Amino acid sequence: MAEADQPQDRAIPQWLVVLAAIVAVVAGALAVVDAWWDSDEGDTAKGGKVTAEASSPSPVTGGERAAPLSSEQVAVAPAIAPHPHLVWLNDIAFPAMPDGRAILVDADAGTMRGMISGGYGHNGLLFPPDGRRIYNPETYYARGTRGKRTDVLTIYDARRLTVEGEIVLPPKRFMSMPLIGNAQMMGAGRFALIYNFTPSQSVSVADVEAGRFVTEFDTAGCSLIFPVAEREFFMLCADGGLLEVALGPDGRPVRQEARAKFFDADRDPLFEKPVWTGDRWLFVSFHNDVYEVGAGKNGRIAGRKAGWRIADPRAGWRAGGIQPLAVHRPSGRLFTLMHEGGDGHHKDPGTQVRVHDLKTHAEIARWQLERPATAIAVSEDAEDPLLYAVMIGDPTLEVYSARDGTLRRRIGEIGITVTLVQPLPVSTGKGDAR
Amino acid sequence: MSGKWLDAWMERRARRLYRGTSRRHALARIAGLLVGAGMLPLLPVSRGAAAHGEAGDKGEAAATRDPNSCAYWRYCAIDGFLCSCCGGSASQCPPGTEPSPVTWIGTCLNPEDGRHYVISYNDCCGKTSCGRCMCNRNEGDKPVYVPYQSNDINWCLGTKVGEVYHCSTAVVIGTAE
Repeated sequence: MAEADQPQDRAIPQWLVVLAAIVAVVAGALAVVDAWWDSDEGDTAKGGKVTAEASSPSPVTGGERAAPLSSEQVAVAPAIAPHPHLVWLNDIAFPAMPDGRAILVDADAGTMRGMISGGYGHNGLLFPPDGRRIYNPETYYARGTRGKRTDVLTIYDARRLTVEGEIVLPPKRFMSMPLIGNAQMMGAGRFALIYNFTPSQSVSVADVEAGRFVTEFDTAGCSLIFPVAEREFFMLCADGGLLEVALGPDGRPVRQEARAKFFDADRDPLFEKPVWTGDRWLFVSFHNDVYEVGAGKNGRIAGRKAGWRIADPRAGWRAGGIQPLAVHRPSGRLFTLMHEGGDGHHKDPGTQVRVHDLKTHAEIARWQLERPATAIAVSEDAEDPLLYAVMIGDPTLEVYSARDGTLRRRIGEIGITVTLVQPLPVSTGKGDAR
Repeated sequence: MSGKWLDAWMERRARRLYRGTSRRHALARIAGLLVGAGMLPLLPVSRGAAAHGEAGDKGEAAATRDPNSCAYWRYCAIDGFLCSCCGGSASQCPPGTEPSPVTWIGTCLNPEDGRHYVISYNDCCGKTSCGRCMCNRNEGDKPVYVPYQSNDINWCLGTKVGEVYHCSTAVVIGTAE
């Protein structure tokens, strides 16, 4: 410390001469590289490409130079204001599954707004009714692709997309091609339910308000989670029946009852990819028949054939894909993704969307998609609903008007293998399921 | 003082790099489209033209006999990356991966002898996705609530190495007759 205060020798020290020489050599080398780079750019310009800078009037020759830009400080983009044309694209990142993600897109602006990093085998997000948070069931391995597996329900701030906390779950989360029934919210946003498959079947319950795991219970023979009331849900069973489960106020199951077969899982299975209409779940079968499951007159959950179909399968067109159905509640319309093909083609991408009135069952419209799609979804707003279409492996979101099927825009370079499309919920209401 | 010209030089570099980026960007986009186009035939959208993978274009009949082709007869209900393109074979996992002890079962017609065979689609596990020869065919595939007939499930269950999926095999179990 004391030495630093000593006056320095006025003679130029030898090390400074050496340093100056090095600087001179480096500067010379940089000048050479600079000239080479310029010549490269000149070639490009000769090829017909004119840069924006070159084509604009010179700020020097044009007279007064504009005031310089003020200096900036790096920051984080402000919190995202929710609106009904925000949409989450869930990407399982199939060629690199430990790195799943959900991408938030503004369909009005045609821009990406943010991302949630979803871990291994990312499925889809959970939105509580108040819209303040987002929950995501996630799987991680201690050493990336190996080591101890940990499953968590990660809690995100819905507007800042920051991690606010996590609830550790049994490491048994079902991992499949993404399905909305893999996890659901219940109890007016208090409970998150996660379907497990090891291949023993069970359900985990987390209390997101208390921030803790509640319980896990067996559901042998039955899969997925479809809530119909604040604390009641059903699961689809391999025999074509369903399992009704009621939760107590603490999230623990108080009743489990098997319901008799209501569809033929062997001859005409239901796609396990239904939509919630506001009071019931609507399913479509491999042969285009519509089924519905909801609370019956006695308050118990019942499934039945709805008595109408999307199209006569003999005409060659069938529903299919990863997310084949969408409902727009304000207009009471059902949108179905259709492809041409017979048995064994039920996951083929659709090229057409058919629109039905949910009350009259009449076909209102039939739209040709510009590109094949494996998933469709519709925004929830009444004023200007949008139809989203995306195909797994084609990183492009197409945005159509859900009123007349006209293409509004195409947003590219979005995701790797996008599966489920989740428009931002507008208002889900108390105890509402989705 | 030298800091100033260095800054200026860096700034010029940065500007040019930025412009260069947009050129490379265009190339990257085209490359992306090509990758996308490479994937499309392997998705069910155009299964008729699915005789690709490492097999090249050998025609439909030859493709049904080629384990590197999505059209190979055993793959009639497969969903994933073909282990035969990943260092394994139709019935072998690539080195260092572990076969899943549980899996889904399909039935496929062998055009060579006209017999139907029961095929076990064991996944190979413990390394990240192979990423080659993506193939999805769904003959007899059922929704996940009929698990043992569903190819949408990650079957890397009950392994020592964990559930990270690498690729899929198609092992002949026996005739279905």
